[in-house]
Amino acid sequence: MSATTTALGRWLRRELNRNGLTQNEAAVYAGVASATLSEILNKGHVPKVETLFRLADYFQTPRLEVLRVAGHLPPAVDPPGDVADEPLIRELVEEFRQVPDEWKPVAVEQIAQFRRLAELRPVRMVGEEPADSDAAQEGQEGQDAQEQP
Amino acid sequence: MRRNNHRRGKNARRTLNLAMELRVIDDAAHTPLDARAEALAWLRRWKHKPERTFWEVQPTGGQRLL
Repeated sequence: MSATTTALGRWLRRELNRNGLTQNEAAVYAGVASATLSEILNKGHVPKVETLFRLADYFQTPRLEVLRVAGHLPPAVDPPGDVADEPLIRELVEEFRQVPDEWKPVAVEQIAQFRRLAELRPVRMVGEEPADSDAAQEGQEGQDAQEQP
Repeated sequence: MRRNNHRRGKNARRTLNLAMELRVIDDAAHTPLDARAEALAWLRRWKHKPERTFWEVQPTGGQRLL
């Protein structure tokens, strides 16, 4: 048995061990050829994207992650290990882990709302003048004057 | 009797939890510090009353609930 050198082969070997499957069993269940799995594991071959998707779906791994492991996509821009060291984010993740599983999707969606709200432009309340209202008003008047014949 | 892939449910749950944690990290990393602290405070309050949501999108627009 030769050593696997590619990341895809290591991922596949890990999934096979985790699920307690042989190559032939995984090939049947995932709907790919056994020779394909053998080539991935032993020769470092990268199969077609369709085969990668079948393996990803069967092992319940995100397709994008498998494409990334196979080298079809560049590695993630923001590796989570870097930002996860920040204290606030670490506390947030620790609090999130204490949430019951059935409520976690709600928590994820609500935390995403904080991000969306922060990305929104500040809302100007009624009666509140923007900081550069004079300049903006003059610019608008100038444009109106130019548009009128 | 152990069958093939008998840990599928456990692995799926672990993978889902990991994916959700990564999304929380990603959202927090792209949020300013004050909003990040606000989200942390909200999560600490909310986990005692998880039936209440912070923000819901109504047909007429957003509505702040908590």
